[in-house]
Amino acid sequence: MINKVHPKAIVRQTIIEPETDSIGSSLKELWTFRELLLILSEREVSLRYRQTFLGVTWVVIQPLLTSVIFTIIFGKLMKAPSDNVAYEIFTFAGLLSWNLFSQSLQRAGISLTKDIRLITKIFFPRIIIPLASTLSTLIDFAVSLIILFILMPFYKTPFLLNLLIIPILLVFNVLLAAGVGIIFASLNVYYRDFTYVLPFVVQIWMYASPLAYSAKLIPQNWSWVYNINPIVGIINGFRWAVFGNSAFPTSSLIYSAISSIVIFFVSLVIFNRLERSFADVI
Amino acid sequence: MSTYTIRVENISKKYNIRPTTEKGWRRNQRILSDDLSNIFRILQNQVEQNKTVKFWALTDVSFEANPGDVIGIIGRNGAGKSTLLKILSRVTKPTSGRAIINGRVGSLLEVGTGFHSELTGRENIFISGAIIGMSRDEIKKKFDEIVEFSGVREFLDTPVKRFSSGMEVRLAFSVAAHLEPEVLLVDEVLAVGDASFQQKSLEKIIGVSKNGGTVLFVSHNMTAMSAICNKGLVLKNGKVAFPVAPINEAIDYYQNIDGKQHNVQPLLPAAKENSGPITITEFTLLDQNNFRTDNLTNGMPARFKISFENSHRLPLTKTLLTILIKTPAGDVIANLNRPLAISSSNNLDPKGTVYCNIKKLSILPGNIRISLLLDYESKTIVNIEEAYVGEIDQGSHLLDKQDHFPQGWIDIENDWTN
Repeated sequence: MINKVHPKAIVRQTIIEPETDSIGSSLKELWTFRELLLILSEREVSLRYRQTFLGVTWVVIQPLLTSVIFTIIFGKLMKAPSDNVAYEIFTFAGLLSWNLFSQSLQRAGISLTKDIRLITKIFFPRIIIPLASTLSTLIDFAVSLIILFILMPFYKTPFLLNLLIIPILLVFNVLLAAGVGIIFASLNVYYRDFTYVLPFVVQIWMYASPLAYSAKLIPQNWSWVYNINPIVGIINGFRWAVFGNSAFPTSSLIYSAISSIVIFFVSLVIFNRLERSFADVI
Repeated sequence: MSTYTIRVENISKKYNIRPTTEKGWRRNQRILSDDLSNIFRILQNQVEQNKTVKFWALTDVSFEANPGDVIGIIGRNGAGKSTLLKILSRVTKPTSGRAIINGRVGSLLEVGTGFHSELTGRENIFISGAIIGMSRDEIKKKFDEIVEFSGVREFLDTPVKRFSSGMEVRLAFSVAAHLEPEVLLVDEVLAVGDASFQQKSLEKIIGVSKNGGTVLFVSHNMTAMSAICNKGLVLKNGKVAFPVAPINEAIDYYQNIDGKQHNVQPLLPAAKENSGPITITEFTLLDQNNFRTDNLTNGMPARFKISFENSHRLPLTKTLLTILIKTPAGDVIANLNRPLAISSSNNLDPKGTVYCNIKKLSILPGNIRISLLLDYESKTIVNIEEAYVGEIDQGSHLLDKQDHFPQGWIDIENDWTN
């Protein structure tokens, strides 16, 4: 090679030991590989709609279609309550948060086992793989958000200052999505059963979340059970931000925020513990 | 400051292998139902110990490498060469011991990790470069050089799936070759491209050491080893059999002391290089009477029996089974191949057996190795480097001629006249 190894360059020292790396040093390493995280998220986005006729249009079609289906089945046929807002936009606002969570969970959950060679043939902080899946769904989120803004005038929904809370909600939404995704991803390395369990988890989770219906449907004395689901507070938060026709969901949102952070950190601990034998087990 | 670039101290690595069926072995893989039923057994006090077999891939390996060293890691399949590289590249953790590496590490355990067939050549350069540890700026800076090296400029914006497999590996190797690490770990990736491309690749590898870096190099090809390495380390059954020494001494030791045994390797169907959709379950030498034998004799007929399993029922006409007869140094003497199915009648069979019949083994007496390769749609899915390691015995027709010590490899039928 023509390039010279700079004599004064700082010598990077790697120490290889049997012990599991501490979370601190793992996070530090994640930081040095941050560029790879972005590149892998980009790869996931650009791969997603390759060789499809409609291409990126799918990002627009998917949430719209889901919301149309929900509207027909739950809104028109079952007449589910929608807090006096047009059902179409009511469910679309909820889906904004849910799609970010569920798509990220589904993609991240199987991410580690999808390309085994990334685990067995090369080293980089593997947590990048599920994280990249989660980050890649932010594109879909951004597009959906724009669609929502376009739809709002048609449904006579004014733009409220409440909308400014969305970035904060997004942070917790991503932490929760990444956390649950990382847990499933690492378990899936050990037991492929989780690949098959995952779709059901997503399905049950969806019905347990106020997407097709309003959380107000839940009887008052049961709402504490219902609110254990950490996405409930975030979805309620999104609805409050868009429609502002109910009280700010303080308690359920605080609970969601705390549990998102806790779940994310628990997922880091689990991942760090299991990662050391990924290459041997996968 | 310390002088070494790599220092390995008493590294050991244990794998748990568990038999799943009497046929197959699975390395460390777990099934939820197995583990759950184990919990039940434990609850019922019927602990079935030793269901897993402990296997030490490496025991107590220590060595040191200095700037400028190109060390060839020599040993049979299963000697622990790849495990050693995996530990040093941090893919897997050692069970005990430790290693210190000074400098930026580049590892090439495989060509094209992270390559995706749907993405274009250009996109793949960036992704693959980032995965092996290059920054985006670095890749941008070397982009032209990489493309030039690979020789696939016209196809940069074509999805890699439209590439020939040769083009794909050439591009992948070119990215890797421009990593410019201070410590380079290479595992058998040289068999890429034509002779001139291989030459360029070798020069890149040697370049690392010329700049004061260190290279650890694993290959079965002793000719390549002696060409680029200055030192060698022989591993045997996970232990250091011959410590780091000048490369010729190491190869000598390996070929003359370690290699002088008849050795028919037992074929574990789920061995790591044989776990694709089609697996080779048996490779046996047969004599004229179809009895199993360990011997091959010069000038005599020979018969190889190869059994396979095709659990996914892939079309066998798209396969190509190759038997490579090699010198102990890894150079190919003969290449015999055919698909696992020739006609459509047995095309989707879940298992089967083929025989390779050699009318007359025209190879002179000496040590040989036989490798088995199985390609599916032009991609190698099984690669058993040492399906047979042994000797070709002196046939009677040579004895008659009183030929004292035949040189060379090929036995050409000949007669002389005046």
